[in-house]
Amino acid sequence: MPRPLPAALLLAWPAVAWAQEYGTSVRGGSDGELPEERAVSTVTRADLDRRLPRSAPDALRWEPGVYVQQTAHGQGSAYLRGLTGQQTVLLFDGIRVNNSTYRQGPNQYAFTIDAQTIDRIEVLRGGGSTRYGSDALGGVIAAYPIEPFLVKQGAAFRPRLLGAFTTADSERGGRAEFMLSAALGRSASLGFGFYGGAGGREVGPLQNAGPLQNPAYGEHPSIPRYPDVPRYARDGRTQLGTGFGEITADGRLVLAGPSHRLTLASYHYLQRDVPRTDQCPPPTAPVGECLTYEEQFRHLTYLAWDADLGPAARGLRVALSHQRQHERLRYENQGSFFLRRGEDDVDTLGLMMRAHTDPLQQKGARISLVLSYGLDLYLDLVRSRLRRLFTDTGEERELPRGQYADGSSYVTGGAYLDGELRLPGRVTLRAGGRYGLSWARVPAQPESGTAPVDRGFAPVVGHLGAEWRPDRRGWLRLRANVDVSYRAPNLNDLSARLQTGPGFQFENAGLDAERATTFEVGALLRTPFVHADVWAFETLISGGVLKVSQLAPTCPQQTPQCASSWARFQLQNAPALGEVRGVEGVVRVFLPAGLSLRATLAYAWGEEPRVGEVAEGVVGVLLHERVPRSRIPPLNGTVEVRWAPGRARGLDLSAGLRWADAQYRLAIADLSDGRIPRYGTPGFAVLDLGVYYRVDARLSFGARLENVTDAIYRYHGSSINGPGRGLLLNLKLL
Amino acid sequence: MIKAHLPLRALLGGAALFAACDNKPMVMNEDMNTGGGADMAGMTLMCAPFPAPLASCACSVDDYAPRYEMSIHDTWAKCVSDSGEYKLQGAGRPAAAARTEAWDMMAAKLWADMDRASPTAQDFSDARDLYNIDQGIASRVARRQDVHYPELPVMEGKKFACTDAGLPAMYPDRCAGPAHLQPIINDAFQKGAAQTEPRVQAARIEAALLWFFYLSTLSEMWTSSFEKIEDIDAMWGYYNAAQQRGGIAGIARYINPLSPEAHQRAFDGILAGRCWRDLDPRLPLQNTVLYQRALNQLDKAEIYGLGRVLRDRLGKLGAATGEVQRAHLAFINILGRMMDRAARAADAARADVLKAQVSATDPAQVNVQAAQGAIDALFPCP
Repeated sequence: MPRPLPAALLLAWPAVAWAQEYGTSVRGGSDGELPEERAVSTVTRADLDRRLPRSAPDALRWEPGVYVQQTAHGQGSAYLRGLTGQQTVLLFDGIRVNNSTYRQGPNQYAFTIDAQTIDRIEVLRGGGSTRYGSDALGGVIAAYPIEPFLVKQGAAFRPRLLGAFTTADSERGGRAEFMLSAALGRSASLGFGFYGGAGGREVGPLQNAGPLQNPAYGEHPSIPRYPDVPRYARDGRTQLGTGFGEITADGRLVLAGPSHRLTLASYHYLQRDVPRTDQCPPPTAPVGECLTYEEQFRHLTYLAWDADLGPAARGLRVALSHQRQHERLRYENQGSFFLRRGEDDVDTLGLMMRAHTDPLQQKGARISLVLSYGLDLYLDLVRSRLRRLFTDTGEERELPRGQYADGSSYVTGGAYLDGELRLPGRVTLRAGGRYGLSWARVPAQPESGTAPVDRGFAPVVGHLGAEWRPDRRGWLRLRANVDVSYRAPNLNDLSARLQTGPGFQFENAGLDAERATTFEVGALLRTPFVHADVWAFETLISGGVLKVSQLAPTCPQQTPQCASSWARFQLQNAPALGEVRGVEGVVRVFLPAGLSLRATLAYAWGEEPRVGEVAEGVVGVLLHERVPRSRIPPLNGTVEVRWAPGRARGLDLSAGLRWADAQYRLAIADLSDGRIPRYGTPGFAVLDLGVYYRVDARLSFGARLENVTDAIYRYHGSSINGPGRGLLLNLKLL
Repeated sequence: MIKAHLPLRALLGGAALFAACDNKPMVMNEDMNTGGGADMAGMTLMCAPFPAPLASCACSVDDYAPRYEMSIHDTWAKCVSDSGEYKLQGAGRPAAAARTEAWDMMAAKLWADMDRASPTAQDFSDARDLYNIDQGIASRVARRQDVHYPELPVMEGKKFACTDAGLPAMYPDRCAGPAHLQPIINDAFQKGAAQTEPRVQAARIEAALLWFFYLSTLSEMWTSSFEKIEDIDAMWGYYNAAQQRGGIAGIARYINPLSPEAHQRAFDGILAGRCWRDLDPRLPLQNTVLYQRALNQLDKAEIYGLGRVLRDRLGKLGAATGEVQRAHLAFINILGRMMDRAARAADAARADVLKAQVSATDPAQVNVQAAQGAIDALFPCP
């Protein structure tokens, strides 16, 4: 019988000594999920505390091979090896966050993971469909939440307050949270822990040093000095279409025994009034025209069972999940008193299971085999509505269809088997395969000219890799991998109609799956003084889904906004291979007296067959048979010098430089995309200085002077320019 | 062939411009002509004679005349428009054509048939939806400029500053869309939804959009000169939904029934614009003379045609009563306001006469004959 928790214990915090550091005492079954033989990097909680990112995707800016684009101030999309959005997978505690409405190009969904609740984020660069299913062409971003501590005896309660402030965007935020734990039962073999909290922030308009200049300014009189996006207030520093509000709430209840662990968790992210910067106002439109995400909510609730069931089922995790993604978009044209409001809700029911075996090894043999296996299944149910309102007369009307066909559904999942074979000579071979399944159903809607879809995709993919450790201590590891991953067309590809950055995009119900074959070689060095990872990769994309410019007569029926748009696009499978290749690396040097140096470098080059022509208004651009892929990040990197003499507490000083070369290689769609200056994005170097002081487990303080030189800069493909010189402050109390 | 003597022709063209202003038939001396052409008392015409009742009109030496033996007698070099067909500059049908089609659909809802019952609130709602199609008419009204007025004193190459807050109020004539048209249209939709004299509101929307589409043909030619060459297709799209000469939609739907020759001349102007972009294909334009000639030709034909529309509506004023009459007057008030600039450029005194009549607020106060006489005198030829 559980013993009632004495109220005195709850009040007399901290009554019990912590088993380990706050927030990291107990790992769930999702620990270390990403395949270690691949190109993986991790952002830890300590990194987050020190760097003070504005969001979860912002936290990835210092990772090798990751380039974070922002279409809006309250949005962020990480490019992994030149791919993003629906071509990467986002996981939260091992549960798939992607759903079938993820659109091509960058999206806002990584932002809906509350950075305050994250223990760490792991990034896998390169295909990962064997384990993570559809979409994992460019990589996987796996966020892991903070776990509650578990005491072995008695009970403990610990509240905490967090405050965050910035100057460049006037953020005022805070969070209140607590952890609670108690041992249950006389033998102390059972215990529970709870971690939960609620927070919020108001983020004001983003300021920087001023507008960026179009690289082609002066070369052609039709090209103005400054890009159309973003627009600025009269002060010349405040970017219009920025700022947002955010509320979060979460709770995580863990019941743990010696070999079992049950987790019931619920995470809620509610973001309000996030203008899409490149559409607020749209290029050349009056300032009263604006597209805003009035509501961007994500509610994720799941029940996970972690267990060790013997040699054949170690690290078993079974999770049942429900996720609701809710979006409410408002397009407003104040000049004509017109407002259009769309609501899209996606309910996703999920089931995932995975486990691995003990090493299978004959006595005396120097060969061992570990098998990992799993299955997953996710069902999306989509509701989509669109209404318009004349704000002066109050007259409101339901429109024939929303962004998606209401009542659409989508299933994606599969089963995989992965093996790791350790051979003599410090050689390890790894191989695995997945049988995937995706099925899309879109109901016919004659009134909106929507064709029905009832199609399935059943790809078989896999990977093969080898590792050799030349020295016994394992200081050097050489790796080579081949991975085949896939992305089945989702509901957005097959049925969505939407205005995108380059123009109006409409559906193609005949799309086929795209596949990415990644060849990569890597070298990892781990010495007491130097850690270094270097990877080179080549990704070949077959059947790649491209935005192809279309003429007005191809527009779907009952979609007058298609013909009226300045450019029209339809997604089509590429007739020839696309490719992305590049190198990326990270080196960390540990010096005496707590001094360390970390540097990253990434370069990617991508191209694809040309399908279609440039949109109207693009001048002086010659097209070849093969053209650059969209928004491939430029050569970029970071350098971070850190002095942290104390290991767990005390002062931690750092100076970081983020830099990127210019990117002038643009895709056809990029040329008409207001997010990209004409014609390319200038390079930049931004210096940040940080101080983090941890007094003890109860009190810490972080401050960061960002963009010390007040540089004007933009991450390629973004609508916003990076924050100007400013201060970020963070305080954790209790 | 005459096409071989362009420098001489251009020289003549400058002098002939003044002659054309007097609306005297422009002829060429026979010995200058090496090609075929209609002979008139020893002189060779550069374009086909105007049909009655415009027989006294003549084309200018600057005009492009594709209808007359495929342009071989005019002063324009051989170009893509000589066949008399509009050939797209860009890859596809311009988005402007979709806006013109939406306008025609609005017409069917609100004002095309004055004999039927007054438009209902639902009709206004439907028409307003058409007006507010994403990237549709409303989005362009909000940024439309009148190229007859000086450009805004903009900086760093920003040509579209009419979308900046506050500037339309400072430069209302140049920023005609947001400053003049948008308030009229919004107010009319509001009152139409409330069923406050719905015919009147429909007429106000009609006239304001006629003003908008006229401005749009010219502003697209302007933006084609520096922003997008393909905007020349948008000029065509705004005129008659990007149809060939026989296609009667958009502005052509107004002009052609009242003056088929004005429509023909306007379409010649459309083709002149396309011809200019064919002969001067660079951005920015290199040949400002040719651009100005095309712009003037189209503008003159449209203004004449819209003058006929105004004249026609004035004529209907007396025959109508009640709300229909007030609707005609509302239309006259707005279109008359639009015509004032062109009228004043032609003859300030007559412009005053016209303005006094077309700005009347009471139908009984309008001297129709005086107004029509002023229009005839101000705009005698397309």
